Amino acid sequence: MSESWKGRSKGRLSGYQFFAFLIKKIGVRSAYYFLKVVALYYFLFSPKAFRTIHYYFRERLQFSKLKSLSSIYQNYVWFGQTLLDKFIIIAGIQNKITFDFDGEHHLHQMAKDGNGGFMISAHLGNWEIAGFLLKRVESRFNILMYENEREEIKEYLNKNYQQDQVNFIFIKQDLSHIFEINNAVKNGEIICVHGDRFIPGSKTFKADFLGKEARFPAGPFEMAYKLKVPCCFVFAVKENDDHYHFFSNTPSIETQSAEHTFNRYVDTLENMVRRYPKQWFNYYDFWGH
Amino acid sequence: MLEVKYTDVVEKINVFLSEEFEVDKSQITADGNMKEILDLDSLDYVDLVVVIENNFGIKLNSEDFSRIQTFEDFYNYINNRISGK
Repeated sequence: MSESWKGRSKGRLSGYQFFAFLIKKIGVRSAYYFLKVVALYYFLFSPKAFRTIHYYFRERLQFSKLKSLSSIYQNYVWFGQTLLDKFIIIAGIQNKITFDFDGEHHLHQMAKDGNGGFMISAHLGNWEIAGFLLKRVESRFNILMYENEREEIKEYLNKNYQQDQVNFIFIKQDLSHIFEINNAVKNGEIICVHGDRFIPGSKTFKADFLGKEARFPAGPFEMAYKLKVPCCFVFAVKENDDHYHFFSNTPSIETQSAEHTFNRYVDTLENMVRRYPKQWFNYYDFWGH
Repeated sequence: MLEVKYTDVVEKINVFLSEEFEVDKSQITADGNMKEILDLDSLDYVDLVVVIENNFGIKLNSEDFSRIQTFEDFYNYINNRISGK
């Protein structure tokens, strides 16, 4: 049985501010180099994250010992880069980042249809970048976040995202998010949510993922099914330092069961993870091994 | 506007709650705790929101709903909303 995520994202506001400072003072390219030093520090002195990500590369992806070690380091570098890129984009800093969109038309169509919908992603690559670039799609996006994620980061994000197109819905104990989601969907808006993390006590689905059973949150799949709205899976991964690739499959309204959508999601996620193994950013015991 | 009888509202609610949440209608009593008897988890609230919209054409909001404890609270809330009170 897999361990649940503890409901807190890595990183402190001071860390985010530091990245922003770094980019402004030494430039994007130099900041990328500096990141390699930071990644080395985490590689050497962050044993818990090391253990979980080592398990992922060595046991789940069956990488060799040496390849696992080099992949861990590269994974940290990619993770740092995605954070930097997020601030580059949000802060409007001049950059050379380019994007490809596979399936962008699906999102335009979903917005045009006006029936609302769910975009389900994962902590693979850089979903925040994808969310920010959705300015190109004429719809209002609601990003679901856990209430107990760091307040300060929420505030920072709230300040930096454009309020008119991106709204944050926080998952709370009082279940107010259920009503907010329903209202957003009824207004034809799109809900963006991760399908790979859950907090203790929440309903989960189980599936074989990379050769071992893991648990995933049932909520995103159940809600899309119950509200009878289209659902698609989206991912934004880095191809190299300056280039992102955005993927979206064809949205569909589930008619069989929430589990059916969930199983399709896990298959899609596994394919994406195998294509971009070093951009898996879940630093906790995902499989509960 | 046609006036809807309170008893009709109660009956309609009991029927769809019983069907949707698979509980015997006899378990649904005015002073019963709605969350406990229907065994509602967070995702069940999605069902509740949807069936109420479908049956009464009204949108629920979380502030109102947080005050509902018993089935009677729920009947009164729905009745007030459809009566425009």
